[in-house]
Amino acid sequence: MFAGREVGTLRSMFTTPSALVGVVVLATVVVCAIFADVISPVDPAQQHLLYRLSPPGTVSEDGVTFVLGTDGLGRDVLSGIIHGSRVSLIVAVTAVGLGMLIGVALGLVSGYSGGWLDTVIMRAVDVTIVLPFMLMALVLRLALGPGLGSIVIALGISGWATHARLVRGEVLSLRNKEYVLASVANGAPHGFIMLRRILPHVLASAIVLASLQVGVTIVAEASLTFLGLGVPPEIPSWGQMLANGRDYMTRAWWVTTFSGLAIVLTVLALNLIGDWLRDYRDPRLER
Amino acid sequence: MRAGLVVLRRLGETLLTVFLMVTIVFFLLRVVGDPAELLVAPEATHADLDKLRAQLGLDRPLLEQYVDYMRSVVTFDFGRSLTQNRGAGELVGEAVRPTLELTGLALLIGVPVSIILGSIAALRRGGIVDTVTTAFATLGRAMPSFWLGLMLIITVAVGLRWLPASGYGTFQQLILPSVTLSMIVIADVTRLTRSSLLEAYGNDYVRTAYAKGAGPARVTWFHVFRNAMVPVITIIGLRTAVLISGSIVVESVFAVPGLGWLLIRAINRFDFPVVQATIILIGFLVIATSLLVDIAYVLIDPRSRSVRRA
Repeated sequence: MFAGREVGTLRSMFTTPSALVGVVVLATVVVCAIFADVISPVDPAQQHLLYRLSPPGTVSEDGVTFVLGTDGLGRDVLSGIIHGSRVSLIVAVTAVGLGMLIGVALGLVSGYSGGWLDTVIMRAVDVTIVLPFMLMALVLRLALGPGLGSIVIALGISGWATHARLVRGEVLSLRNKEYVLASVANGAPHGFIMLRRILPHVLASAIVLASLQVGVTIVAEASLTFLGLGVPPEIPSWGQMLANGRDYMTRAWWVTTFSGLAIVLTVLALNLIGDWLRDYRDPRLER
Repeated sequence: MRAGLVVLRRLGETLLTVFLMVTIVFFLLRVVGDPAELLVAPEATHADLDKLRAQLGLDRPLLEQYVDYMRSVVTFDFGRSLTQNRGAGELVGEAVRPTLELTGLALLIGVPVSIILGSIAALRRGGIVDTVTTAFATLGRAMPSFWLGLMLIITVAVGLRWLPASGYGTFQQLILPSVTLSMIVIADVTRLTRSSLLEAYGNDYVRTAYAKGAGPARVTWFHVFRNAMVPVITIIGLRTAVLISGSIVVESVFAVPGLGWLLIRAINRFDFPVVQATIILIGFLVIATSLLVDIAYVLIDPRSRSVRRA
């Protein structure tokens, strides 16, 4: 059923407690995101106006328990967090996927072709890395205007350069390996060599990098949304809940505390998995 | 190559990077985005837009605008604020100090804490400090700084009433935002100090030093520590760049009137010249920081003087 290597991967995952914790937490978040409508106790948009700012555990007259309390409009915090997981995960995964796609493609071409194309792509990498991730995403988001699409593009484009740089480096070391040279001697087209001979070998490190980027991207998205520059307010998101909760933070600590904890747990899980993936692939890379 | 030459060359590279950064910001905001649309109310008509474009000179050829802008940026003229009757450069200049104080204090807290914690963790590997520190650093890496800031306000400022929750002017008001920001440094630098020290202990020169009769204290401080600090300084430099951009959010949480606070306020008020000037200045600070780190590098590690950096 499994090839030997995959069994080894699974075993290593189960013998590394931190990785196992990460997988379990992340799986919970993913299940919440997919089955949000079924799992969440009440409609996250429904305003229980009589129960505004109720502390965690309050039970309403019609028998609804607000496990994590309600916000300033009487909306259930737990339901909001469950629904908010959707947008956080979708935005982060799409953005990182976009950055990875662009980065891997350009890194592959850059390292393989060399010459002026390599120079142009690498200068573009330098230029992108000039501004820190958050600032770059902010500038792009300003340029692209509001909307869910532009936040994904802004976060994705901010992250492509790291992928391009990583992949190019690996391609350079692979380009002169015997099996690649053999392919060249056989007259294989460049596209075939890049996609079938080189890409499979660089994909693993790109995936490790991507897994570590997802967490950073979730935090960046939440920060931008918190500042009013991210996910539009009509979509339930963790960053939005934090921004709303801030207004009555002194009277109702639970809104900001729990929506932030959701971010911390998700990012923690992703980092634990990313760290484990990296160590599993190359134990020397402990950094 | 001599140290002076290396520094001079880095200086040239830095100027080029600053130039590139200003160019990107200019074109991103003009070509991908439309400042006029950023400025007007959503219900504005096309005529309103055209009028505004003409007023701001946005209807001129792009290249002409670019050359003009570059010329004025070189003389530190960033145009006038659209909401306050003052120069954008003046507003930005006032906001630099709080941001620098905040990041400076964050480094002052973060660097010693992480080097001490990281060293103890490495010297007593597997001990309680090591376990707790590693857990702490892992958690710190997953925590958005603005959330940590909000939690500190709830507990320390509102709950315990030890420190003010927001504002700027007194030293007490700087403490919470700096501690919040310092977590960005602590989370990474602690881990790196630990692994860097552990790695340095495995080197041949450690054995040589012992063989020459050096005691453990001398080996640790004179040989291991000095070598282990090279990658740590690099990361501190990189983190400083992240600190400056991280202060955008933290300043907004604590209402510190620094660059980040100014930027977000200008965005919300559609004050385009100020937005542009602030982004450029933040970018400039980040680039200047990385230059300083490189110079520190040349001074600490003689190897970097001869080898061209990758």
